[in-house]
Amino acid sequence: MNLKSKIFYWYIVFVLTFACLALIPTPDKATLSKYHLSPTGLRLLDLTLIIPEAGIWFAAFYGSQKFHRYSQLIKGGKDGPHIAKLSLGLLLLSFGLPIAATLSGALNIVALHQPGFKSASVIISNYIGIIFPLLAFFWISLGARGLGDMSRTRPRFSIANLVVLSVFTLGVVFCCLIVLNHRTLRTTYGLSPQLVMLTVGLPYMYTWLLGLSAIAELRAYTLKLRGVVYRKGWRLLILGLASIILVDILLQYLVTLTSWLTSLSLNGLLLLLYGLLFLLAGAYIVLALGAQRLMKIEEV
Amino acid sequence: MNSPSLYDDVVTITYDYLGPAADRFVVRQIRNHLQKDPGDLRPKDLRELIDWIQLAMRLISDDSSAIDRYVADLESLANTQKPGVHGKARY
Repeated sequence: MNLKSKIFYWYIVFVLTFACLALIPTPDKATLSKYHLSPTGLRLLDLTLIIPEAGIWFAAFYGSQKFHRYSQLIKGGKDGPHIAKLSLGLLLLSFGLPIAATLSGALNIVALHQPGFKSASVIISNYIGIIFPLLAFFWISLGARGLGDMSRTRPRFSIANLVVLSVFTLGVVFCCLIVLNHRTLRTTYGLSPQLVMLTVGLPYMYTWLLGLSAIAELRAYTLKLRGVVYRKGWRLLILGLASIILVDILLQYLVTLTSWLTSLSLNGLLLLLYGLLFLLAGAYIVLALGAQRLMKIEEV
Repeated sequence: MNSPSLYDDVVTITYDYLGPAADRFVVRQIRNHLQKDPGDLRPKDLRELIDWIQLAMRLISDDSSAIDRYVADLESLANTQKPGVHGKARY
């Protein structure tokens, strides 16, 4: 079985498991009363989230599979090993989406039946949410650095500073939110503020640094690229890749704002979720289009 | 043994359009359509190679002005090559 078929079967398995985990268990009474919904109403609402989520996973699997195919086609070339690292990072990122969601759903169900497991379930879910983007961005930044070394390009001093400043800002605001929300911290993270900062905040900040640095490296690489036709494909690819990294950072950041998110009205919450899902799906589609263009160059 | 130079010239021109993919692209066109090794490329093969490259480029890109420029660059390389003489006749 080739990777395309394997990815497709995994996709089906993840969607079905995720849908079962979300729809089969009896809905939480607190959620029903908070949003004034009936159990059927909540399940229908869940379905309106499962469908776009499945759409994103499809876009993510499709985009990363196309990119992987492209990396296979050029594996003998000078840029081959670096593109392979980018491809591995993207596969981790796209597989991380359903794995984190499915495991989190499964742990939630266990916690519903075993109230003592609630904290552990939250902690495990949060760490699963961290580990995949961390590994993915590590490989993506390794690939981006490799391409930069190969073409002897480095991001401009101002861009490098902007990256560091952005990570500092995101990190400081993140720590402030942790301190301000320390009362709800136990429900959001199941850990003390110090532990959250060290074991959640620090890995997140490192992940954001890797992601934003990779964007800066890839931008510098494309600016120096020669070949008018080739550059067009790469620009699309980089646009997709950069958008994926940015939206993923935004998603991770929003997780830190859980207490603010839960205070939103149902309409506001759905609008925000749909907007993010739409952005992420769009980013993966742009990536797939870029990979498809570059693949054509290598196939004809 | 000047033949590889002609292949190098084709790759150098192609680099302006296909960047790092140039080498792989030219090798594929020579192997698949001329059934030759890149090192065996001769001036008399150039016209046929240009036709194949033009066809391939139309499948890859819709930027007709870039394709026309690319083909014109290859044509001028072909014009500098004397048929039957292997190597860089234009130098």
